[in-house]
Amino acid sequence: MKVGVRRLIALAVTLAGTTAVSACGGPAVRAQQARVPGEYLVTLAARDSVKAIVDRYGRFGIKSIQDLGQHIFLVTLTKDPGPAEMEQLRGANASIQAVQPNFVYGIR
Amino acid sequence: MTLAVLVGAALTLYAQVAAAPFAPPTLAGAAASLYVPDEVLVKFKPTASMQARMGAMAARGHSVVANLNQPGWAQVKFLAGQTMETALTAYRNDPDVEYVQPNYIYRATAVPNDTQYGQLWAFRNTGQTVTTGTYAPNAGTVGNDMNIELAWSRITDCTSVVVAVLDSGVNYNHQDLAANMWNGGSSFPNHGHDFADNDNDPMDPSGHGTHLAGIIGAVGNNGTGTAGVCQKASIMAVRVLDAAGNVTTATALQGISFAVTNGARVINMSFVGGGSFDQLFSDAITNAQNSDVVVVVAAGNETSDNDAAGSARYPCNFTQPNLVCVTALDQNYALANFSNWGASSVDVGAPGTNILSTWAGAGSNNASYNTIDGTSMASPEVAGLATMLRAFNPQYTFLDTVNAIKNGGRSIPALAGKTTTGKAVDVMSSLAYINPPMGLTATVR
Repeated sequence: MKVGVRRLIALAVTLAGTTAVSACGGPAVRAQQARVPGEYLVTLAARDSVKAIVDRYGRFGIKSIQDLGQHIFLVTLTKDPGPAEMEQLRGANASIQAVQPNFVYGIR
Repeated sequence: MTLAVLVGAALTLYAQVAAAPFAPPTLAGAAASLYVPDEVLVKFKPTASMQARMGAMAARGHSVVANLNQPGWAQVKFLAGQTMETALTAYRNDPDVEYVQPNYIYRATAVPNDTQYGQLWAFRNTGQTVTTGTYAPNAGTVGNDMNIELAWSRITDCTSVVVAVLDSGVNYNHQDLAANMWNGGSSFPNHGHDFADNDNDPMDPSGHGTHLAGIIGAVGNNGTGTAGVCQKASIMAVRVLDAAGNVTTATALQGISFAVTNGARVINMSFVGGGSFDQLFSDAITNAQNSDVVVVVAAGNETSDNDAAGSARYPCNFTQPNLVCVTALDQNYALANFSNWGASSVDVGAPGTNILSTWAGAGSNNASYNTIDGTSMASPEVAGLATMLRAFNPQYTFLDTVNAIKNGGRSIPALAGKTTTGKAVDVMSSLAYINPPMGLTATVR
């Protein structure tokens, strides 16, 4: 349940200025795609380890790294630099193949 | 069984086979008991005069039972002692005949005895008022339904195909679901997994996922509650939504991977996000495709065009061929007033208002039901259809299944220019599409 609570709090922050779209009936408000603040999905090259993530993004304070399989890692940062800076830092780094926000989908 | 139903069924089957090469029918197995033993339906070519038609039948000692009110079609009775094979062969070789088939029997006994069945307008729209419905209108137009009862005369058991519900979990103890849950063995004794709380118990705390599960596969013909599209099913519960009804990319990836890895061949996802293309979510759909899995998703409920600039809604707007995006129709087969649409992104429509199904969560018990609206509800109607199609034709690939759903639907004005097909799903026509008479037919011994 702790994970759920943590995520709920995080989402509350993100959704404060937005509204997740819905697939279940009732009124819904158009919104920007919501994302979980400070959470990014990083895809590593097959040969590389999480050290590449620490080296590249450690400056923002890494709270956790969760292996999702297929070389994809959910990285939670203490400070959120935003998607643009995360992508810029990735640059031409061969170890980190991709980085993207952890987007939010909803049913409301 | 009325003549109108027989004619409708015959024409439906004919419409599907017309484009196919003329091939000898082959009656086999259960299909052989599903036709009138001494009758065939004959379609004469438009160039055949009435005199030629009557002469062809008289020469064989056959008589016309009815002309069916459809151009060229005749219901023909043949002599005692003649076999179906003889009759079919005779007309098949007649240059004035375009098509001949057995006169199939569709049995009303397939209609389930569930106590709330009369409220399920999606399955049989009699114009009834859904007494617990809050969406207006809550009474509809006779016949605007999924045309499922004819299909149930052919298949009600989808247990051979695992269907995964990625949502808020499922009340796997519900009286109308318990018997239809996936057997996860000792590894997954609770019929799935919970990626929201990271445990092995996908019990539904809200009701939404339980509602979807009931639409797909509430136990049918058990004298209780509702029935699903599949009256017998194998439902895998994959909880990915948190208590607030949200799911992240990371959790969705885990849920999809779990479903695919553990043998699901159909996945339903009734959640939506928008604004940004989500590469990893897209990759997960592609991975499902590579594992021959059909993915059915909801269009969303913002009364907006998913094709408009800046209005893309994912996963609906992903373009993989194993993906079917569904919008919601009301009881008159108008687009529901909350539904999103998209001429290039949304594929088909299905009933999505005043949908009664199983329920869970606060204040509920294992016998609770609820009536709600949404493209969330339309999506599992189609996921159930996909599951049924794959159970009926185990050899079908994801593409065969998706083609049958899209091509087997029926065109309705409300979806013209609003979806890729302009069609509402039609279960019997989809079954006929993938199993036309050349496959249905044959005892021909």
